Amino acid sequence: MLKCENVQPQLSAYVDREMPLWTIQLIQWHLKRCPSCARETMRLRQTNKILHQLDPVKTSDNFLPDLMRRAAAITVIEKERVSAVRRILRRLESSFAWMLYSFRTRGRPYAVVTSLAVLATVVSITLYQPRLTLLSNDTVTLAQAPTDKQALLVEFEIVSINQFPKPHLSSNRRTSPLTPVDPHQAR
Amino acid sequence: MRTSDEELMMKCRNGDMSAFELIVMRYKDLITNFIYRSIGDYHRAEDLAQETFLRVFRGANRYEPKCQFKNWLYLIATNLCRNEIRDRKRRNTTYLDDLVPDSEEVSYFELMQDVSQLPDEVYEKKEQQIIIQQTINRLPENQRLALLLVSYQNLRYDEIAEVLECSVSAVKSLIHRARQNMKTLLIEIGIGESSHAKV
Repeated sequence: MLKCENVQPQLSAYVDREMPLWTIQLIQWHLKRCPSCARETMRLRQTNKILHQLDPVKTSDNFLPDLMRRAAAITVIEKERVSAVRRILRRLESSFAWMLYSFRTRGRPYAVVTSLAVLATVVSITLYQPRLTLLSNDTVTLAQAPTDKQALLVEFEIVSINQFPKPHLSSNRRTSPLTPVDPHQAR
Repeated sequence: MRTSDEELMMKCRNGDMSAFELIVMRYKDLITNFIYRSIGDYHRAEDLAQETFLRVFRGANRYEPKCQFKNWLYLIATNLCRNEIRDRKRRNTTYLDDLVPDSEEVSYFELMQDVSQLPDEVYEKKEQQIIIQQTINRLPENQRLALLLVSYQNLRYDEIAEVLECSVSAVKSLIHRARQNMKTLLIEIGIGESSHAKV
């Protein structure tokens, strides 16, 4: 036996007869025994009836002529577009005509030679790799340095040593903490 | 013998303008009505109906007779309606037509031709129609479209599912919720409260 909570979501489809015949029979059987579901069905039917009170509108008289004029304009544009594509193709054909002509007149050897030349050009362009320019021997090249940071660090050290003044040999005191200490002088 | 829509579309595909004209003649009122009920603006509805048919014309080359032509046509119209509803929401626009429906003049004229009705009755009927249209406009987008397709276009649930691009059970649920909301809104206004109806 059907319960109200199962029947109520089906009522709209029942009103529209959008369900199998046996389901319609089951719902009808339930509606005869359930006044609340019967009332709900009646309200849905009434809503439908109210909706059908709206009068249909008609299109204006110039709807069809306007539309056909626009459709004809589209056809013209489409034809022009197609003819533009054809024009481009014709131009391409004429520009390659000399090639086609020589293929036809000079025959297979000419075609083979041209194809090989094109192939060689493509292969050489693909295989070409420009060599990296190496820096001087004193400095570390980018290719040798594992990271950019390291290369920068090496460069920094060289610059920093060059900037410090030369150590005064007569005195025992070191002028710079970076200057290497001579063990004989220290003694 | 009536030529089917699919056959006409195949003719249209081959550039037969008279076939396209015949298709337009068949569906122009239905599509305009559907769009008008969806957006509530008659002039815009006519524009969108024209746009729908032009899209059909442009897409004739891509049309495959596997699917039903009617569903394809409603799919295009529905997408246009959706775009229009969203555009209006984004712009937060209230058109003058929303306040005073512009098909009113036509409908009044038609109603006045019916001599069996008194002017008061004509006015009352017209007022009620405006209220009903405004109530439809208050429904959420998908519910509104589903309800209009089933109530005015007499499409089956499986056809609506194809048009709205969802499952049949989703359509069932949409239509049920739309009717429930419609019923509540109409009762709030004071229309549709009567206990005499056949179950």
